Amino acid sequence: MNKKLLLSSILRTMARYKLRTFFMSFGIVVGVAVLVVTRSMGSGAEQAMLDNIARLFSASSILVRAGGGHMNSPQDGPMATLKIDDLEAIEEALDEVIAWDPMQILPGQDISYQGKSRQLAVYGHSERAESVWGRSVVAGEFFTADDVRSASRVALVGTKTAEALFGDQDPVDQQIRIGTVFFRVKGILEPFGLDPHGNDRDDELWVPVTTLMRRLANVDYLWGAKLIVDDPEWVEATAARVTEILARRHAIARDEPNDFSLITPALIKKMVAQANRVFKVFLPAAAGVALLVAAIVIANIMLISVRERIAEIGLRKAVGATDRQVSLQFLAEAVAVTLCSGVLGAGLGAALVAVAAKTSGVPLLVTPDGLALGLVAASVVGVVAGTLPARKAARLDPVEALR
Amino acid sequence: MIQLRGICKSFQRPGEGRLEVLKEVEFDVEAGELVAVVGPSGSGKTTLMNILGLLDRPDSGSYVLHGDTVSGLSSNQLARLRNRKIGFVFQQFHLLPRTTALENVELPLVYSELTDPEARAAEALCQVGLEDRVTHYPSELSGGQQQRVAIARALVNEPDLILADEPTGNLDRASGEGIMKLFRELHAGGRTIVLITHNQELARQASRVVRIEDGHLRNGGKS
Repeated sequence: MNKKLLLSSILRTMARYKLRTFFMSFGIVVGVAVLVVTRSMGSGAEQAMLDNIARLFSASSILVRAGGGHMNSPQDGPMATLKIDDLEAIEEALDEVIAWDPMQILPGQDISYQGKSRQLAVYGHSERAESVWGRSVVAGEFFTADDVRSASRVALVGTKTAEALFGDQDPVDQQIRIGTVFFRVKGILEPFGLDPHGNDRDDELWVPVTTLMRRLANVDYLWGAKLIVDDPEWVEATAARVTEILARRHAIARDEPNDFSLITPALIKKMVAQANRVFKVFLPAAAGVALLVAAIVIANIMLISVRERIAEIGLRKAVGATDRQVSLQFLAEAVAVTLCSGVLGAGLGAALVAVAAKTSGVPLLVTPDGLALGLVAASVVGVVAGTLPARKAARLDPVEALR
Repeated sequence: MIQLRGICKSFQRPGEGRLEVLKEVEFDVEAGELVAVVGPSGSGKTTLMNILGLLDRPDSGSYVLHGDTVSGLSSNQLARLRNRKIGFVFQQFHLLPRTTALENVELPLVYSELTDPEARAAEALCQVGLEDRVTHYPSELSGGQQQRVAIARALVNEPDLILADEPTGNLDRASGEGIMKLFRELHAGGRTIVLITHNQELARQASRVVRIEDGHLRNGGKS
C-alpha cells in the first residue's frame, strides 16, 4: 500500500468536505482548549497562591498556633495554654531552631490620633519579627529587644494607617492612642498588600508582644509563634519534635487532642493543591465529558459519511483495497480530524491563557503536560469514534456497494 | 487468459425461492481479445462480470485467470489480484466527487506497490486523450470525459484484463461512439477487454460476441 498517497487523499477529504470537518472538529477544539486552559490556570493559580504565601511563610518556617483544629477552621479547644516558656523550651531543646517570634493579636481596637480614629487589628511581635517575618520599616525604627523586655509603649503603623491618621504629616514620634493607652509611633511598616486570607496588611499596628499582653490584653498566653529552622529539609522532622515537646509540656495524653496546631510548608502545599482541585480535577473532568460528546458526534457523522460514500468504498475494494485497508482509511480520517482539531484546540487554549495572563497579571503558564494531555485525548477520541464506522465500511460487500 | 468451467451462481430471493442466475457457464477469453457479452437485462451479465472481476464468488465451477486458479483464494488475495490484474469500467463511472481527474486515476495505486503514481496517472490520462484535463473535477467534465477518466483509472495499474459494464449506458450517442473508439484503440494496442452490454451495435465492433440468456452462455462467433 502507498501510505503517502492514502494520507494525502485523507487530508484532501478533510479539506473538501469543510462543513463536515467543521462539525467533527468543533467539539474537540473546544474540549482540548478547555483542557489546556484549565490545566494551565490550575498550575498558574496554584503558583500564585504559593508565591503569596511564600512572602509570609518561607520553606524553612513552622507556625505554632494555640488551640487545636486546622488552618482554615476556627481554632477550638483551650487557647490560653501556649506560653513564652514553651517557645523558650523549644529553642533550648532544638539547636536547629535558629530564630522564633512570639505573637498575639487583638482585633478591632480603636486607634485614635487628634480626633481621627480607626478600628484596626493590633499585632504583638518581638523585635525578632523583623527577620523572622521578613518585614522591616520604611521610616523610623523597628522596636528593639529593650522595648520588648520592658514592654514599652511604642508602635509601628502600616502605610495605609499612617496615611489615614496622619495625612501628609510625619507619623514618627507622634503619640497615638490604642483604646485609652498612649503609644509613641516608632516607625512605618514596609508595605505588604493582601495576605492569603484577604486581610489588608498595610492597615494595622504592631506593638511589642509583651506590651500587648500586659498593657492591652492583660493575658499571659500567646496566639502563636513562628519558628525558623536552619535547613528547609529538616522542617517536617523539627515540627514532629516541636509537637512532642509541647505535648509533654502541656501534659497531653496520647489519646487526647493537642491544644495547639502546627502549620508546615508541606501542609500548606497540600491545602493549596486542595483549593485548586476545581482547576486540576473538576474542570478537566468537564472537558473530558465535552470530548466524550464530541466522540459521539464524530462517530455519528462518520457513520453517515460511510453511508454516503458506499460507492467510493465499493470502488476502492474493486481496485484492490482489502477490508483492513478500507478500515484503516476511515480510522485514519477520524484520527486526522481529531488530531488536527486537538492541535487547533491546544493553540486556542494557549492563546486564551496568554490573554488571561496579560489581562489579569497573574503569571499563568501553558504547561506541557496540559498540551500533551489535550493531544492524547484528541487522538483517543479519534480512535474511539472512528472504530465503529471503519468496521462498517470494511464489511461492505463491493457487489452491493457498486450497484 | 480466462477459463471459466461449469460456473453456477444463484441468489436467494425473499419469498420466491432461489434464482439461478448462471447455469454451468463455460467461457474462455484469449489474451488480446475484445469480447462483447450481450444479453437482455436480468440475464446474468453483471453477475458474470462480478465473478470475472473477482468481486463475487461462484457457487461452483472453476475459474483460471492467467494460469492461476482463483477459487478458494482469501478475500485479501482476491483484492490483491483485482489490484494487479483487473481494471474496471462502470456504467455510472464511479469517480470520486470533489477529486481531480489525476487523483481519481491514482486511486488504484494507493493499494499497489507501484512507484511514481503521479507520473503513471498522468500517462494513463494521456492515453485516453485527457492530458489537458488533469486538474479538472468530475463536475467540470462531460459524461464522455468522465468515462475516459474512469478508463484511465482502469489502465493505470497495467492490468491483464479490462472489464467494462455498460460503459456507454449513461452517455449520449456521440460520446458513446468516442468511448467505443477508445476501446478499439486499446484493443489494437494489445489489451484484453471484456465488454458487457445490451447494445447490439456496440457489440458488433468487438472481435467476438457471446450471448447470455437465462443464465446460459452461447458463443456468437466472430463478428
